Amino acid sequence: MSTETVPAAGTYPSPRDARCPYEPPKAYTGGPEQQPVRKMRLWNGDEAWVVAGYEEGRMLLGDPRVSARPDLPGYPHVSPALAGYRKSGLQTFNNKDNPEHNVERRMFTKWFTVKRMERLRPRIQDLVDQAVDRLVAMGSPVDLVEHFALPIPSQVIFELLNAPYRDHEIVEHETHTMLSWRSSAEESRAASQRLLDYCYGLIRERAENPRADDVLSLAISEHVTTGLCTMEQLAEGTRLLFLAGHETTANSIAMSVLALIDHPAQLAAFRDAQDPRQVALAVDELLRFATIAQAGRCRVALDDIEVGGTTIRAGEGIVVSSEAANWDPRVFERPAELRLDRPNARDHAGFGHGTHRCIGETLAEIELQIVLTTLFSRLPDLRVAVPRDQLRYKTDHTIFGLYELPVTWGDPK
Amino acid sequence: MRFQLGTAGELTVDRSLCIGSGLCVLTAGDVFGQDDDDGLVEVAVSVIDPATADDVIKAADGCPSQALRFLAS
Ligand code: HEM
Ligand code: SF4
Repeated sequence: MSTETVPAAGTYPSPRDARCPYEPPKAYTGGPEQQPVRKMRLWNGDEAWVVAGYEEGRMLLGDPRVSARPDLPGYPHVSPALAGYRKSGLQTFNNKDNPEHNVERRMFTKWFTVKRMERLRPRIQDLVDQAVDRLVAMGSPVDLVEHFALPIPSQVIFELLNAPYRDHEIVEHETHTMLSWRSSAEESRAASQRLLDYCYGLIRERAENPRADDVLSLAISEHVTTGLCTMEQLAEGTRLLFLAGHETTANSIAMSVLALIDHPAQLAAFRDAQDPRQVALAVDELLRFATIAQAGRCRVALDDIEVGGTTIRAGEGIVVSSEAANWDPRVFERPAELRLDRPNARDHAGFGHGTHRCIGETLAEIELQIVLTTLFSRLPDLRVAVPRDQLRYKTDHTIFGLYELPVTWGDPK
Repeated sequence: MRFQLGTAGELTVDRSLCIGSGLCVLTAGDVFGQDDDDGLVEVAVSVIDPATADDVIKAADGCPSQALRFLAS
């Protein structure tokens, strides 16, 4: 099929169905079996191929002929805010191709190994226990997003980087501005610069006072002084960790809590789960069912690529939708059903695929496992404290989720 | 690096592609580990037990960066 003959159908991103907060927008899921790849129009009039099929998306994200560089012509800028900071020239490894990508990502890989993340369990459990204690002390109703879902991942990422948690409001504010679709390109660019300046400050301090067993100190001694990377690359990589480590896990917590409350029988089984593998699988299914990384994996083709019965031409933009892939009925039978024991839930697309697959996935999964088991065992009858139509969803943000989740409960345990 | 998987085929490991996702460790922890110094994949054995071939093939299929590849014989 030649691209000239394919008209763009609909706009990306499209709205979700207001009745179901979990279901991906119908405009691009409308039957991935019939149309796994379709051309859509972006807010600025550009066009891009939106990929809804699971296998098609995986194939493209694993293909070295597909680039993540926003400075290349044809790259799809899916919102003014993303265009704002991605075009600002301040780029790090999530927007670079190999071999540069791997060189920069490796400043951090050893800090995110499965072994290291497993060792964080007791500390994360402490943080979660303290957070539930604070909720109980505040009494219900209370906003679970502000007082629980956001502070936990935030504390974890600050501790991981040995950054002082008193700075969390600055970091949370800048990351929100960078990711909100309501921010103008200029606002997003400015927030991005302020967060970068903050990271420079941390790194300068660590260059003067190196610490043992510390991410930034070792990144300086092993990657910067050896000439593999520059201070600028380290600062930009650090900013990415703050950016990618905050709202993602926070919104996953909020959406997972809501999904469990909405499925009481599943929640009862989850509460009784004894086997950690059962809990891990349940978390995978929640990540599949309520996919939060909604801005799509944005890429541009470097060559002509055949996929899903279509030819994507060199220089055309590609948006791989994780939420659509996660609801592809060819891979996940009856995708609209939450089934915490779904055998292939582990294959969900919520962390992406290819060289840019999420560096924080093991960390995020462990946080979710601990958060959900602890929350629902301490506050067994947790429920939403407002009528459902009052919940405000983040339909205008790079990361889907809830602005607030007011909850209430009976007697805590 | 190349490893024979019994009669099923061969596994190739290319650390230069590895992104340290740890997915292979979660899928076939007896065979794969991550090096403490760089977080990248290391094969913990010199010979892969053919009994673990199924898990190893699954790990190769799941590897996001194509650092692990299975070639059926
Ligand atoms: C539930 C929580 C999370 C979800 C759903 C999530 C999702 C994703 C997705 C879909 C990507 C791929 C982006 C692309 O291909 O364009 C990604 C990349 C990334 N994530 Fe996460 N993430 C989560 C938590 C975290 C955490 C906790 C951290 C850090 C502490 C983190 C750090 C990163 C980084 C650095 C990248 C870029 C990787 C690269 O380009 O090589 N994420 N994440
Ligand atoms: S699954 Fe692939 S990328 Fe991940 S650690 Fe193993 S070899 Fe590396």
